[in-house]
Amino acid sequence: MNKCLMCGREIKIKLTLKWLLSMQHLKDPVICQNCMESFSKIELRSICPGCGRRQKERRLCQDCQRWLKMGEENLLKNRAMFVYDVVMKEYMQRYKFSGDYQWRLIFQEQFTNFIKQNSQQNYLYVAIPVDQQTFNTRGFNQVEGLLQNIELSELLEFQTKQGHVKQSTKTRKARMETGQPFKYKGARKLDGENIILLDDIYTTGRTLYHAKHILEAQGAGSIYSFTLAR
Amino acid sequence: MDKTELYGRLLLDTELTMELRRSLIDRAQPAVVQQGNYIECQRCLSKTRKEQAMLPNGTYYCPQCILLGRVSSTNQLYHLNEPNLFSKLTQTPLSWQGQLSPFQQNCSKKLIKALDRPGKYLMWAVTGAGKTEMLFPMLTKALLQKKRICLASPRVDVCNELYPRIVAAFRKITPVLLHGHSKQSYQYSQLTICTTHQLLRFQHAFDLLIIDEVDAFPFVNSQMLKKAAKRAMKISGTLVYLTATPTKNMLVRIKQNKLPVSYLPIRFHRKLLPVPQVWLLNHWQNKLARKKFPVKLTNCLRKWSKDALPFLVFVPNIELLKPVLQVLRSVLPKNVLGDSVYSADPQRITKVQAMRDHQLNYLVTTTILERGVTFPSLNVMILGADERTFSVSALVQIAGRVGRSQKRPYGDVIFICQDYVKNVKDAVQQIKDLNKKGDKLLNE
Repeated sequence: MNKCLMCGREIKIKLTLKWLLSMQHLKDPVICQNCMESFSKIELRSICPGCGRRQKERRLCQDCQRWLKMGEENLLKNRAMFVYDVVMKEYMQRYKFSGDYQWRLIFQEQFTNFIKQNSQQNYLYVAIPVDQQTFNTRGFNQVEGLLQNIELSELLEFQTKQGHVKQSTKTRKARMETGQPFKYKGARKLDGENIILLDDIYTTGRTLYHAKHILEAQGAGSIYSFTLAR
Repeated sequence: MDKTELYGRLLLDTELTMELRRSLIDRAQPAVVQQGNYIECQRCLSKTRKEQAMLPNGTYYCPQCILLGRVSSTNQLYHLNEPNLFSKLTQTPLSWQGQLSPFQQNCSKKLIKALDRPGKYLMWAVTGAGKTEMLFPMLTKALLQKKRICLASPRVDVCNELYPRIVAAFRKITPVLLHGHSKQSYQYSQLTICTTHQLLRFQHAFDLLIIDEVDAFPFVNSQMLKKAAKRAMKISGTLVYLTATPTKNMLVRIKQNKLPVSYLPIRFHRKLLPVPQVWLLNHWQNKLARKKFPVKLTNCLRKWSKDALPFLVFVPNIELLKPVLQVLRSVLPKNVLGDSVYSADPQRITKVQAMRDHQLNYLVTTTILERGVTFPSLNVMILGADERTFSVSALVQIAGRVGRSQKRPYGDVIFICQDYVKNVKDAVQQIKDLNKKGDKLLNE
């Protein structure tokens, strides 16, 4: 029997009638139901329409209002699956910072489905890149690890080849003051293509809006985003 | 960082300073070795299928020992031989003033003999026998012989409880305490106290390795940790296991005379172990679903709290903590305070301390408090003692929390079951057998 990647206990699989009727293969879950339920899922009915943050009413949060004030015309309409709480922070610590690549499997399938179910067709998917130095030491791009069979367009790369100061190490103020880290990598200019940006976490939105600005300057159409956590 | 920190250790390049790494560059060993479809991590000696270990940049990593920092094929490992560079002691380092009972002395003498011959040795002593004190003479001798010693345990709580006792008993020695949450930084020391996971960072370091609570999770079913323990010792070293509840495997090896053992079936205060009462209450779970307890159970808990005695209620899984705590709060008077605790509880240490300080009257807990904790005058109850989570050794250990103090060497141990399963039978039988042996010893 499989052991839960997170708590190490044996995973008990409940055979449901729904599964029986679906005629599908039995998929081995990688974590137990208990551990999965320790993450807080965001109900898309009550969120900030700008960034996907969970809140009581469906109206723009202060962060998003600030983006509007800063001259942003179209918000990213980010949609996130989970709240970025203590449990999710611990997950990111293990997956991204300790570099336990296997832990991508915890969300890979459901995050992929979430993106596909909530996005219309005729969009280019663009994953936020990691810089070369991080890729070499970590060994993987944490966003791409969370995706399964999604065709990605490589339109962004880091301006410098050396490592940069990671967003995760900064204060909120310092994050917001971060300069444009990306440059355009596409072979030709864009011609009104609609784009969906993919990232692991939406914290201040700074990184995603930087990416959006680069692509807009190249002639992209509408740009939305999805993240695992907000 | 100087090279003494590498004596008997096995560290990653990323754990060394640039300077030290440069001076030892010719000693670097690859951290990951490829073998067919598998990779073998040279730190934890685990094998992993390549498809599970491969990273998109073409390197491999070891998912098994990642809690100690990731090992990948881009890393190297460094090791220096253990030179036993300890200052010679002119007099005994033991500052402990206590006295061992004749039974304890007997056990202790056998341990001293074990020190002179390499190999494994088991000290099987009942819960509350005073195992730590029995180690002191052996530790004293080993320290005088300039041997390097490690006291390890699978449980971090056990390490934390052991450390101040060792510091107090050996004031001339500066032991080092290592575990994932320890704030101490590593320094070369003759005496190391650490979790069994930390043994992964040692190689041929110890002349004497003592593993306390050797049958506890995660050591008991981890091949990785067993290999690590073996490698952390010198080839000619002595390995001493301590436990009150040896595993089946150990019992078999004792019978075959493959594992020398010294045995102490009596507690330090010379009273027998409390025998569990098994209550078959097949409706307790249904009652709990309706936010109630069976009457018999409620009466018992009320009596305990009326007597102002602390108690622990063990439950088989985390999900039961909340509902059980809720019912407890509703059936007991308001001034009887309690809380729940589990392994990943961020307030775990504070809550246990509050229980020690009598700010709490009871705790509802999972098996994490099954061993390594002592609360005087305690009573315990296990809800669902027939569930699989409670192994025979867990049941015996939990019963062993009771009657540990000289002042109140007795107490209630109650197992609530729906079925009288084998584990429960075996645990009760084991305690009765130990008491028979203890009784015999007392009457000799």
